[in-house]
Amino acid sequence: MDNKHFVAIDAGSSKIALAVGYEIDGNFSVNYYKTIPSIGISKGRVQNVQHASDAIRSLLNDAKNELELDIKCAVANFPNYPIQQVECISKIDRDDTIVRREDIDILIKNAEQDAVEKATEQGKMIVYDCVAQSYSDGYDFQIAEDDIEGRFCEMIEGNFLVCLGKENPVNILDNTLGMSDLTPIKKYFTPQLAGRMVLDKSDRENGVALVDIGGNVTSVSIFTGDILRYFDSIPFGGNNITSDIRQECGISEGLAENIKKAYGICCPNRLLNMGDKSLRIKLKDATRTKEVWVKYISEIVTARMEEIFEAVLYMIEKSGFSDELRSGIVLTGGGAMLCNCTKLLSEMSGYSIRLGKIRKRFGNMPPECLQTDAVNCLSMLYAARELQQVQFVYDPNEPRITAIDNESTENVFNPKTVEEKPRPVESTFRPNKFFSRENKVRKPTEEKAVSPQKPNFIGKIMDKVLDTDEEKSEKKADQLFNDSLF
Amino acid sequence: MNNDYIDDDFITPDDWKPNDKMIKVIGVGGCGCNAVTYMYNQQIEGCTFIVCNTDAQSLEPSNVPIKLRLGEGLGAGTDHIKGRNCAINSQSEIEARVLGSETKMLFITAGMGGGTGTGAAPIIAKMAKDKGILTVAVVTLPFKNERNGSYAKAVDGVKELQKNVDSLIIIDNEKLASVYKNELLQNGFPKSDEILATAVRGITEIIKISGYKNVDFEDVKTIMQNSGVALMGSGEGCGEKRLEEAVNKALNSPLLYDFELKTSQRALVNITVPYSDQGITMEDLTKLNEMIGEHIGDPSKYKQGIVYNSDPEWGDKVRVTIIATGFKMTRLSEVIGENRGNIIDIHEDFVYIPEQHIHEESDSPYEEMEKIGFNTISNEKKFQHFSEAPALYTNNATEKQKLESIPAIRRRSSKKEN
Repeated sequence: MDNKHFVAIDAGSSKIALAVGYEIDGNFSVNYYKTIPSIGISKGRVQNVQHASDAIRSLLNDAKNELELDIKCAVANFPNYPIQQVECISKIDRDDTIVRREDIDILIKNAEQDAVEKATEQGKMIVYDCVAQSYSDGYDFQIAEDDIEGRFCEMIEGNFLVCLGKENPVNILDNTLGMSDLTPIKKYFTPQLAGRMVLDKSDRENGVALVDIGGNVTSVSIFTGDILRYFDSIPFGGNNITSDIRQECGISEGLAENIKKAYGICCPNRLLNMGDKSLRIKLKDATRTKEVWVKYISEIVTARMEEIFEAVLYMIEKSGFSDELRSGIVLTGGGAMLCNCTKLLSEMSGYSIRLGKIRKRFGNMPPECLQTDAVNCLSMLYAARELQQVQFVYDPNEPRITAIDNESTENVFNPKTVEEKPRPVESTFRPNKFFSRENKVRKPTEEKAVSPQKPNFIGKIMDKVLDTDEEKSEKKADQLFNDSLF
Repeated sequence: MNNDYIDDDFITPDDWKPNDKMIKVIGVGGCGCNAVTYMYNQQIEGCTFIVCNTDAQSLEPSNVPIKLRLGEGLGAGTDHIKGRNCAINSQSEIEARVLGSETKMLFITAGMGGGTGTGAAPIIAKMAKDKGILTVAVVTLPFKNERNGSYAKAVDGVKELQKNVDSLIIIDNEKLASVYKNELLQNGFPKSDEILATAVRGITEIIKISGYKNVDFEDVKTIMQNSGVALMGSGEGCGEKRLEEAVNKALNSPLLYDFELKTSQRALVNITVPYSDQGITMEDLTKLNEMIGEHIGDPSKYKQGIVYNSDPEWGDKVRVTIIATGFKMTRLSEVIGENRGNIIDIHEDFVYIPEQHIHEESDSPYEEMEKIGFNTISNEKKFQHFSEAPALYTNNATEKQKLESIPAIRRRSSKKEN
């Protein structure tokens, strides 16, 4: 059984990135990372399912061909806009016993439910992430999550920051990935993950703002005390800069994007040799040649970046943490790759600014992974390691294990001894029926709810647990199913 | 007296000879190293030669004893940013081996348009100039039709260099090719090295060799310090019309551009004559001065030196070396053809390739050290409190549409007008 590969897909407005990682003996490497320009996706949500799925499918096929792997599942990302953050306090009275994980889970579920009820955005809202800010046991306050478990108390209260987003874009993304023959195993809300991958613990403890400048969304995540304290975002990003260049120069979007990457420099007053240079643009069908000073391109870029950074600073001020950012601001995303953008933000804000890149948690990775725009995808890839039981890929050279019997290791280590049993007919993939813990808030009284119709990947888990005893099979299926989702 | 210690305020005795460490000649990059190796083999005296390159392998064949490797030694791959970064990385070594306290004048020779010379030479020049060392760069420009954007890169390198040198002498390959067009390649290319050698020899000899009318280091410093573009010509003549020949050759040297010499602000003329019965007469000297004066005009700073050469092999030769400086750097465009380097052609199917589009404005790869103290004010919030939400922080769909469709630069300018 191949359970060492992990796959993550970041479907953004500017690019779609696919990363495949491999873990062996605790050493995690990225053995594939590729991006393609995004099609059919805007403001972090899929606008045209057909176009987007075609693009994802082509990216997936490239990966399959190059790695000679049959990739079936991946982790994906929730959109970063629009997000509503709600602060909720959840409390439970209990017997005077040791606090266990289940108690924390109940607090979280209550807070999530409460947040959904408080949501003011139109449309059905679901929980993207729930971040514990602090706990209290009635005697001590501001207890961290690591410390509350194991305490002996009659009451526990949790203060949570719940990030809510719309359900509709998530369902559309599921549909899109399904059409691309890729099953979304889990979705992540990336700010926390990116914070862990890019920032030092000292940064997160002392106060830092992580600003992700994407194609159509720029987000601000503030960390203090090693906890995500605040998140906000605007629907503007690097694509708006491209659009400005396109309109001002009267050229195509693609050419504007390449000119932005090659010659888009913030702060026109800081131009050195490029200040004397001009671009002579020769279009195939045009009768005239266009000439534009690099300095003017710089002014176009800077004007938009200043607007974006003003909004960023406004969000920082709105958070209430503007005086607590002792580690300054860290920029990630494709927009952070614009030359001199750190200098521009530094001049505007006074904060110390630096670029955020993946710190070395991977054994090996392609050089493209060190760019700021690879942060989100690789953060999800690293987080996907928790899904050890999920088979992201199938190795065609190894016989597929169709039964796992925990009582006998023979089946696990000697797959050839397992008699291959006929697989059930695979159910049609229906993402609207897809059930996941993070996409649906359970009421405290509800036991584990199981959808009668399980999507494709469930069928594959079912492969592992076929047994003549249906009841036993069902229980095993539930066990594996729930384990796979955590 | 310790010859290694030279104090600027020290009054030098008449017979004081500056030591060889005072003047250093450093060749940067492949072209520069070739030139310095050539000069070393010509046994030019009175200075110390150093070769430096990012490519360790190319340093080995040179017989110049002092070699300086920049960076890892793997070369710059025609990338001037790499060349620059290698020089930055090797600053301490450059300072120790090239820019010691005994160094008073530094010649930097390099070929512009590649990686090491274009990138590293300005860094070394800046280090030297910041230490008060008289820095003279003698560089070559590539042919205009050389591929790989060499000429544009060379223009960038020259512009960077001119900010960091006292005097800049440019040797244009195009001009050289037109003068030596009938020479075989193996004879033609070394002409560039020869001219570099002549430039360096000319100035070095002026300083090192005592003459009857001596020109010393301070005179050269007066003429060349912060002097901008420099022109240099050197010519020799022998026989009956040796004076005319020497002056004509000096004035028609490939090193000279079509600048009007009369517009130079400063000029240094050194005449080397035989110290024998084949020497020149007083009348000859007057005639020489008249011929030179016709072309030089009346610069505000002018120095003439006469050096005797008592070597019997010298014969009846007369050598005239002219250094004219003080041309404004704005005239650099006449030399380098400003527009050539400044236009970047973009075609409709242009694709950005990161390795090919690195420019000097890139954020420095080196993080600045954050200094912590009571009065340090880094990371101090300085933006004003927002009285209202900025433009992009809006939920209004119509407003968002407008913000997307109108470029920010247009909205900003219309805001200013209002």
